[in-house]
Amino acid sequence: MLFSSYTFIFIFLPLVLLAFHSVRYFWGGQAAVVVSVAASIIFYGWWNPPYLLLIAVSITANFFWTQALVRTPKKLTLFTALVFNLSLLGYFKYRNFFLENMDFFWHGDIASFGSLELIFIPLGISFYTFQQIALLIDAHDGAVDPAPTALEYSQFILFFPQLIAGPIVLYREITHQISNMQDNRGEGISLLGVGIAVFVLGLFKKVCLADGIAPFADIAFSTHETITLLEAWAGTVSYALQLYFDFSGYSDMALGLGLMFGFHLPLNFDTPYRACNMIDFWKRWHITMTRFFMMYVYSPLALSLSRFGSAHFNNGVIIFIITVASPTLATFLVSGLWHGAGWTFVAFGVVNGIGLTFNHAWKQMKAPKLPFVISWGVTMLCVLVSFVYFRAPSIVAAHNMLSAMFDPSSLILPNWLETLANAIGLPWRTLNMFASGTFAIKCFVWIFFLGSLSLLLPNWAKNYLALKPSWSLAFTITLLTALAIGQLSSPQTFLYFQF
Amino acid sequence: MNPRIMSSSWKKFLLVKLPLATLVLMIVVQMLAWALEDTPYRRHDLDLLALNVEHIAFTPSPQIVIVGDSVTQDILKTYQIGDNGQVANLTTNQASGLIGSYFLLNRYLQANHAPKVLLIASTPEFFTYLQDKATAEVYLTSVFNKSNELDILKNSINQSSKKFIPALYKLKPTIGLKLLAFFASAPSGLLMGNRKPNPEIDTPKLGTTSASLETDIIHRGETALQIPQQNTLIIKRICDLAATRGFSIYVQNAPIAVGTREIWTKKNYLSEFDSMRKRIIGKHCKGVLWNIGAETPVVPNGGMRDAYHLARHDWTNVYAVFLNQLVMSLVSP
Repeated sequence: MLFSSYTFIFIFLPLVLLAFHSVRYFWGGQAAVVVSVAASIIFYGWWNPPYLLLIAVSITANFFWTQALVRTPKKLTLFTALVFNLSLLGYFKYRNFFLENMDFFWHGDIASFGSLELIFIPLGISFYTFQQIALLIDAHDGAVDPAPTALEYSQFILFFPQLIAGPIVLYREITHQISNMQDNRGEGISLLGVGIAVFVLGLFKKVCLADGIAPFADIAFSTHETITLLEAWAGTVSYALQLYFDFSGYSDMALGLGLMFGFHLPLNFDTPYRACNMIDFWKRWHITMTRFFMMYVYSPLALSLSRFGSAHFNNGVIIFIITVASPTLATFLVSGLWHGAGWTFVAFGVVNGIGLTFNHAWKQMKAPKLPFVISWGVTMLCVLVSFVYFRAPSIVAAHNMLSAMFDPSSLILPNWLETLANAIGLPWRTLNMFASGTFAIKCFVWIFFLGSLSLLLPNWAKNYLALKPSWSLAFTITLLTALAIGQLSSPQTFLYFQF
Repeated sequence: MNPRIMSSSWKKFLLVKLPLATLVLMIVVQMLAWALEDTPYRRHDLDLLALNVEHIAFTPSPQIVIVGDSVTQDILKTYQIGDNGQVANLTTNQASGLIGSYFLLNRYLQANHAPKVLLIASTPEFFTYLQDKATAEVYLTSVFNKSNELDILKNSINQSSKKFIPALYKLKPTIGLKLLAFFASAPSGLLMGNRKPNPEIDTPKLGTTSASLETDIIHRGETALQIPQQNTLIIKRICDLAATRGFSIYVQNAPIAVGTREIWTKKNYLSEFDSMRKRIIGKHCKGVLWNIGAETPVVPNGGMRDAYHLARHDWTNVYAVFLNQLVMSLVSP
C-alpha cells in the first residue's frame, strides 16, 4: 500500500485516523497506541504478509536485548545484538552481492560459494534495522531510561508513517511523545489540520512533480550507450530533481501522517539544492540518515582515529588524513552500501566522501570563500556526479553517462537542429532521447520548473507549526489534492522503497 | 497549542474552510470544463489531423491517400512523396491504429473526391495492434467522438467505463489540455515534408547500435503477428468504403530491422501474417482492386533508431525513395 494510492488515501488512512482518535477519546491514549500498532502491522503486511514474520523476529529479539542492555550494559550483549542485526541485513540485502563478487574475484563457479537466488529485500529492512541498532547503542551507553515497554517499543519501530522509508527516528525523540500519548497528555488531534497540509504537499511533490519528470531520467539512463552530451546532462539533472521530489515528497507525507496522529517526526529534507558546499548539502539531504551515520559510525571512528593520530603524528596533512578524511570516506562508503548492494552505490558513497573531504580540507586550510555561484556550482556538480552512480544500472553505464557529460566530442545536436548544427559546424544525428523537438522542449521546461521549485518552494515540513489555517491554505490544499488525485492512477513507485 | 484539543481556528479550517474551498473550486472548475467541452484537443499530430481533415477540400483531389503508422508518418512529415498535390498524408501511429485510419479516411472523403488508390504503408503491427483502455482514451475515443464513430468504437475496442468524475479531479484533460487547445492557433493543411528523396545515396552509413536496441529488436521479433477480429472488421469497413467510393487499395509493409525479420521468418510469423492478411482482404474486398506490395528494403539493425523506426536521414531517405517510386508507379496510367 503506497501512501499515494487510492486504497491508502481513501480507505486505510481515514479508517485508521477515525479508529485511533475515537479510541483515544473514549478509552485513552494507551488503547490508541494499540490501534496504531495494529494498523501498522496491517499496513506492513499488506505488501507481503510473510515479511511480518521477519520483522516480528527482529523486533522481539531486539526488544529483549534492549531490556537487557538497559538493566546491565554489557559489551557482549551489544555485540551479539549488533551481529544479529547486521547478519539479518547482510543476508537479505547483501548476500547476492557478496556471492557475485566472490565468484568474480576467484573466477570460480558460483555454485561453490552458494546459489544465487532471487531474494526479495523485505521492505524497510534498512530503516527498521538502523533504528533498532541506534536504540541498542543508546541503551548500552545509558541513554535509555526507563526501558521501553513492549507497546512503546512496537510503536517506535512499527509506526507506519516512518516504517518503510524513514525518517530514521531516534528513540530519544519519540519516547516522550509515546509516553505523553499513553498518558493522555500528547498532541492528540490538535495537529490534524497541519498534518493534512504537509501530507498533501508531499503527495503533490511525489505524484505530480517527481513522476512528471521521471520519464526524462528513465530514457536517458536506458540509452546510456549512445547518449550525447546534452542528453546526458538533461537526464542527470532530471534524475536529481526526480529523486529530490520523490524522497522529500515521501518524507513530507510521513511527517504529515505523523502529525495527523499527534506525533512529531524529524525533518528529513531542508531544501538541499540551496546548499553551497558538500557539508551543508548533507545537513539538508536525508537528514536523519546523515545524523545516524554521524552519530554511530563517523563520531566513534573519528574519535578513536583522532586519539591515534594525535598520539603518533605531528604532520598536519597526515593528521587530517587520519582524523578527517579516513572517517569521512569510511562513513560514506558504508552509507553508499546501505543504499544498495552494488558497486554503483559504493561509488556514490565514495564520490560524496571525496567531496566532503575536499570541503573539510578547504575549511581547515582557511582557503578564501568562493563566490556563491561558483561554490554552489561545484557542490551541485559533485552531487550530480554521485547521483549518476546512484541511478545507473551498472558502473559501465555510469561511466558512459559521465563520459558523455564531460567529453566535448559528445556534443552532437539532434537532427531537427540540423540547420543550426551545420551553421556552427557541430555534428548532428538522430538522438534517442531528443528524437523530437517537442520532447526536448518538454524536458527543459520540466527541468526549469522543478529546478526553480526546488530552490524557491517554501519548506512547509520544516515550519509546519507556522502554517495558518487561512483561506489561501484551504484553496492551496484543495488544488494540490485535485492535481495529485488526477495523477494517482498513473504507474508509480517510491525510489527509496528499494533501500 | 492546547494538547489533545484542536484549536478553534483549525477546527473551523477543517470543518468549514476546506470543504467550502473544495466546493467552490469544484463548481468553478466544472463550469469551466463544460464551457470548454466542445473545444477539440490539440495534444498530438493526430488531434490536428482529425480536426483538419474534414475541413480541407483539395483541388485537384490527390490521387493517392496514404495511411499508416509512425514509421511511414516519419517519412511523410519530412519528405515530399509524389508530385505536389498528388498525395494526401493521413498517416498516424500504431496507437491510433487501423481503426483511426478508417475514421480519418471517412472524414477526408466527406470533403474530398475519392483518390485513385488508398495506400496503406505500415509495419505489420499496424494490423495486429489492439488498443488498451488508456491508449484508446488518448488516441481514439477523445479524438473521434462523433456519434457514428463512437458507435463503431463501442463495438471495436476496449474502453474505460464512463463514470462521472468531477472535473476538479481530472484537471489535466478537462481544463489544462482544453485551454491549451483553445488558445492554440487554428490548424491549417495536412503535414507534408518538403525534403526531396535522394536516390543517389544508395549506401547509407550505419547508425550506432547498442545492446538495448538489439534487445528491443529481438523482443519485437519474438512477438507473434495475429490480426484480431476487431481489425478484421475494420478492414471490411475500408473495403466497403473502397467499393462505394471506387478506389483501389494497395498495402505495403514498411521496412523492418533485419534482426526482427530473421526471427519472424524463422518462426513463420511473417509468412503466416502475410497469408492471413491476404485472406482477410481477399474475403472482404470482393469487387475492389487490391494488391499487396513486394518486400521493402532490408534495414540492418544499425539503421534503426529504435526497434520500429528508421535512423534519420539516411535510412529514412531509403524508405522515402522507395515510397516515392511506389507512388509514381501507382499514379501512372
